[in-house]
Amino acid sequence: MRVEHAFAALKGRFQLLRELRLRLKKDDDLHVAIYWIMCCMILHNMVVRFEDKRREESGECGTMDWAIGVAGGSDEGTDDGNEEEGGTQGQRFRGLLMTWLFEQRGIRV
Amino acid sequence: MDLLHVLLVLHDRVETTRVLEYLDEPLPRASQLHLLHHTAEHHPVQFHQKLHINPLIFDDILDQISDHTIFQNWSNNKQLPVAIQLAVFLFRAGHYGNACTPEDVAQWAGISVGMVVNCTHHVMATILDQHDEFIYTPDVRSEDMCRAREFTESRTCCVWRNGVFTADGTAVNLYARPGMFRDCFYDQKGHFSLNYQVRIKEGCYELTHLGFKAIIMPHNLMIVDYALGQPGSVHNAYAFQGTQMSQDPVNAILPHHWIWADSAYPCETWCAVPFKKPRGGSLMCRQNTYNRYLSKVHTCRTLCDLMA
Repeated sequence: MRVEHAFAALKGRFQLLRELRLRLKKDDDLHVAIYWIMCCMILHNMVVRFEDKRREESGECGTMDWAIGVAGGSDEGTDDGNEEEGGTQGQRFRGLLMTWLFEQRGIRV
Repeated sequence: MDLLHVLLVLHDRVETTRVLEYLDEPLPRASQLHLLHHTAEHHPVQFHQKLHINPLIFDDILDQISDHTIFQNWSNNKQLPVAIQLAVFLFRAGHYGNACTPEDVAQWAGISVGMVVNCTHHVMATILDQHDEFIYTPDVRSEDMCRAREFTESRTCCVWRNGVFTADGTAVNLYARPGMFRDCFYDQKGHFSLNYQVRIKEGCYELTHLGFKAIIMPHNLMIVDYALGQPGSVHNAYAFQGTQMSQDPVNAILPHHWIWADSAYPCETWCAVPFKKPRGGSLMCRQNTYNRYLSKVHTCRTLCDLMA
């Protein structure tokens, strides 16, 4: 199954993002780290756009799957936070989405 | 008399050689850049292995950046060709750990370490200048939006087609270079010690990684918006930057559109998150089905989390 995961693609192609080795001596040096990450993102978007264009012109397949494959299981996400209980409007919206889904797909439970 | 003789000899040597101390033998370097020219034409796969990018895409990026004024100077010493500068940058960005130190790249490219640093800075500046052209929220009627809607619809259902973004987060590890601080990085057993990995101290705790959140288009993984920084930090410099969508979602996200996110995100009208398993209980069948369809657009990790 293809994982739709931009981070896997980023970390596969720009493996520098796995581990930024910088001389972090001053507070200011952190900006360099941020510049590196921003550069990688812009390049990623460049690759996306140019590969889209090439695909339209000549039907070549892109290298996004390759980048995701290279990243492997290196992406460790631990962003499991607390669910907000308060957002009733949002939860109603989610309920609506769910109802729509079942109506559209004709799923009966 | 002896002293005069020595002085005369020294004088002669300065006259003939014009240097007093001989420099060490220069470090031999063999550039492998010419191999790139060859592989670009005959073995694109190997080109791709080196720079993690296809030769054709490399040319496209080159066309995009080479007009920048930073590559022009009035000095008699010309800069390296932009193609080489870009190759050096991509080589550094494509490797991590020992492989991407300026010294290693200098040996690979057959140029000096200072040149590697200069090339990196030049290319970095040009790419950062392209920021707004490549990271932006597409227009409602743009082609990208249409494709994202089609993608979402094909994975789920017609009504869900306006969920055109997905959001997720990760962390970028920051390691200081162990060589700089020598032995203090290693514990008594010679293992790399985790306790000393980080050098920047902010207040009472140390910075080990940068938080990194991005909002992407699901069909081609284009990054639309992002946030970088340290979660929970009060210091301005480390606070999340560039988070238009999460700071002002009502205006930044197009009306009647929403983001698919994982359960770490708030449940809002602009942000659809999966149902979370209640403690000690289990999800209803309907909720499970909803989560399964959501993960078709979002990631499969959400599904894995739920199964765990």
